[in-house]
Amino acid sequence: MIRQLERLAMAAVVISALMLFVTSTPSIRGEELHGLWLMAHMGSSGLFVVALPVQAILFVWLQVIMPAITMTERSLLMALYVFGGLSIGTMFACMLPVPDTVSMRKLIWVHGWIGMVVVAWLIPIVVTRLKTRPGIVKATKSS
Amino acid sequence: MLLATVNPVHAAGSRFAHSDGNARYLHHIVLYDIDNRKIGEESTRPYSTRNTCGRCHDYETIGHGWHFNAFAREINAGRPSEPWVWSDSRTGTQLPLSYRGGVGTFDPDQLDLSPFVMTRHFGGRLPGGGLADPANRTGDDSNTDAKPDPRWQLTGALEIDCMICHAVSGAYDFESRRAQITDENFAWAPTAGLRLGTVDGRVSRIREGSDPDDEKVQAKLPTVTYDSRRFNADGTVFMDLVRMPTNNACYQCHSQRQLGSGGIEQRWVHDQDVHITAGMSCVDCHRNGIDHHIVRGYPNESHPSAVNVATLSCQGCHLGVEVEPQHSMIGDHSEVQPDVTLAALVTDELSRHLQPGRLGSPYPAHQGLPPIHFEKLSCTACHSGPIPGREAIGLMTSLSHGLGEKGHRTGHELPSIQGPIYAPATTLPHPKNESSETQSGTTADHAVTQDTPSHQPVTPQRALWPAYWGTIVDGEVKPLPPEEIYTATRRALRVRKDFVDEVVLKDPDKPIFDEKVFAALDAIEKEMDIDTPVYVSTGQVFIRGDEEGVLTTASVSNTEAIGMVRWPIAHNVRPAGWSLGATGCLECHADDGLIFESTVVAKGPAQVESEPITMASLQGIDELSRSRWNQLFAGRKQFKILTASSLGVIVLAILFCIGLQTRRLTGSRLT
Repeated sequence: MIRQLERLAMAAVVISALMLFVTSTPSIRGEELHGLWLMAHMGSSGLFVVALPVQAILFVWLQVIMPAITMTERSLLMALYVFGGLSIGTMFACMLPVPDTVSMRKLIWVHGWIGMVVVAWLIPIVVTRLKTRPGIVKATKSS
Repeated sequence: MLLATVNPVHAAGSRFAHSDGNARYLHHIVLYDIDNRKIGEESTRPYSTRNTCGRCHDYETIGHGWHFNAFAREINAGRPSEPWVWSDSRTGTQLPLSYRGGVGTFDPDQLDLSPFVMTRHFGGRLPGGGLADPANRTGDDSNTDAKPDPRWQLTGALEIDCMICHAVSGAYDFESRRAQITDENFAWAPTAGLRLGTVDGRVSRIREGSDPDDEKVQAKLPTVTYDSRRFNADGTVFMDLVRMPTNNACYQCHSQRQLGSGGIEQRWVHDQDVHITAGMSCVDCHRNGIDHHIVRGYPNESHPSAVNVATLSCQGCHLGVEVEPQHSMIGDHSEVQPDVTLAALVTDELSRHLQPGRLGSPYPAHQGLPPIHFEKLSCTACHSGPIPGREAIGLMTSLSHGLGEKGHRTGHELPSIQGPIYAPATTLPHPKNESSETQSGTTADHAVTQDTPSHQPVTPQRALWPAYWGTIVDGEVKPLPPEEIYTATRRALRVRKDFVDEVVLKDPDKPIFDEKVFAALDAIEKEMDIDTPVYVSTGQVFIRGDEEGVLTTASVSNTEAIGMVRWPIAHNVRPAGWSLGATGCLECHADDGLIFESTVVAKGPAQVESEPITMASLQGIDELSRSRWNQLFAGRKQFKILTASSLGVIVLAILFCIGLQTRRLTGSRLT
């Protein structure tokens, strides 16, 4: 049950990260993110901000009840939390009445690159997950 | 050396001597009259600035400067400025005129308003020169007026009056100058303004059509009785002047007042521009060289001298200017001589001008303000103009309402100008790229159409709705010459002083308005031989109905000729604490955010119930989109808490994972 919930949360993380990637298209083209793109990006960020910590809690729980989790998976996810946390943190800093324009531009720049890293990092995580899914393992064995 | 290379007028080889010091150069000088004769105590002819100041200063170069080219069309006008509004309270006219285009403005030439007529009407607010001086008619900035009005020979030229700006504060009598121009004593205005003597006689008393060469007519020309106390023993006169004009000189034409429910709001309840309060002068930013092309200070301004004047804009001064290496100090490359290499223009000193903090300006941190705001808004949107309310307020300006002249203003005088209007900025066309004009004479084709929100940043603006008597030709409305209108409608309207008071407001049920305007349209049809006369006001086109004395409204295809005319507000700049958004995001990103939600209603002599126009609609923002944004911002505080919690959980998870990993690694080693 916990494993399924954790997978569901991971799916939410992946979907929200993809949505964030797609909605940041203008900034990938070197333009300022604004209008509907920004609105969609902000909307998607809500899902990511909720899904990632939920997934993290469930994963921690899983580690307690399922010690068999591999070192690779744990390492991949720890790195995801670091990158995801930095991505969320840079935007959180921008929301505070603290950074000036220059700092905010730097934070946005860092946010963009870290966001890219998160998306890229999700690829090995998803591949690893798909490989270790019981159904796929069985199908591979039977063939 | 740099400037000498770029701009020929600064050439070291100029035939005019210069002091090159920062100290005032005392001007004990001989005056010369308009016939270029030396003036003594017994002279009776007015002094001429061209013949007096022009002896030592490059009058021709100065004459091409900003302000003196107000009636010229062959210039790169850049940002729209306040149109010349032809107001006539007797006929309910407020007609925006411009030689430079701009949405909704009309070309004076199309309305038979010659440079002479324009000078007579607006001369009190002109510094002279340009087309107000017939001697410039052959220049490259000549407008129409193929046959110059013969009356120029009587009035004389309204020459550039150097002392308007350069006299020490309080030494120049603008009221006296304006009186001379009203009397058509153009050539006598500088003499009266400096109070060098008394002027007797009025050209306006000389009958129209009089032969200027007739000796009897010439005998009626005004004469000057010079004040002998102004002459030194050697026959010179002390001209008490300064190199950099004082604020007082600028205020003569650039004052503004706000209107409240009780009329004109008192000056003492309002603050001055924050820069003036800080001790700065207008000319600290609005500078010029001998070419007198005064820096206007708007974003992306191009200066004929090719110097990058961006450093004198809000952004340039406070935030610095980012210049790509290949652009160096050059503003408009097309204006630069080809033999000037751009690299040669960058000196250490000029590079420093690109850095923030010029004139000691504070660096604005804009803490917590997402940079996208700098793309969407001009600096003035948040920092300048009247503090916005639920509705735009009435405004008065020197150029449109003659502020500075002695009078009994109530605040209801035409034209009805309103602001602040938060709408995208527009740019006037460069004459080189000019397209053909519309048949109605408006120049809407030349500029960014105001009805279509552009990608230009939102800028606070003033606005008015034109009011005029006109005609409809092929579905397009076009104004009729306003001077002829008064003559044609005088008997029908029977207005003594004020069309609004005596025709519009006399009866709230409007029968008098309908009757009188109907009669006036009849008169225009008969006396001016116009097929479809109309009266335009408050965004409506009034036309005679089928029933006698009843008006109806008509629609026209050139709606820009009856719609809102706008131009930007630059001053007064408010302190940072009074800027929009100083209290947080929700000041704007809420359902009652004034930059979007405040409204303006069409206003003019005719009392028409009009739908309020929201600023959001002028910016091209639909209600649904704005509502969604507002909902996002309404939950911003909660989202911050959620994000902080999320971060906390992620950090704890990372720490837990590290701990677990460490424990297992340690455990596996032990086993």
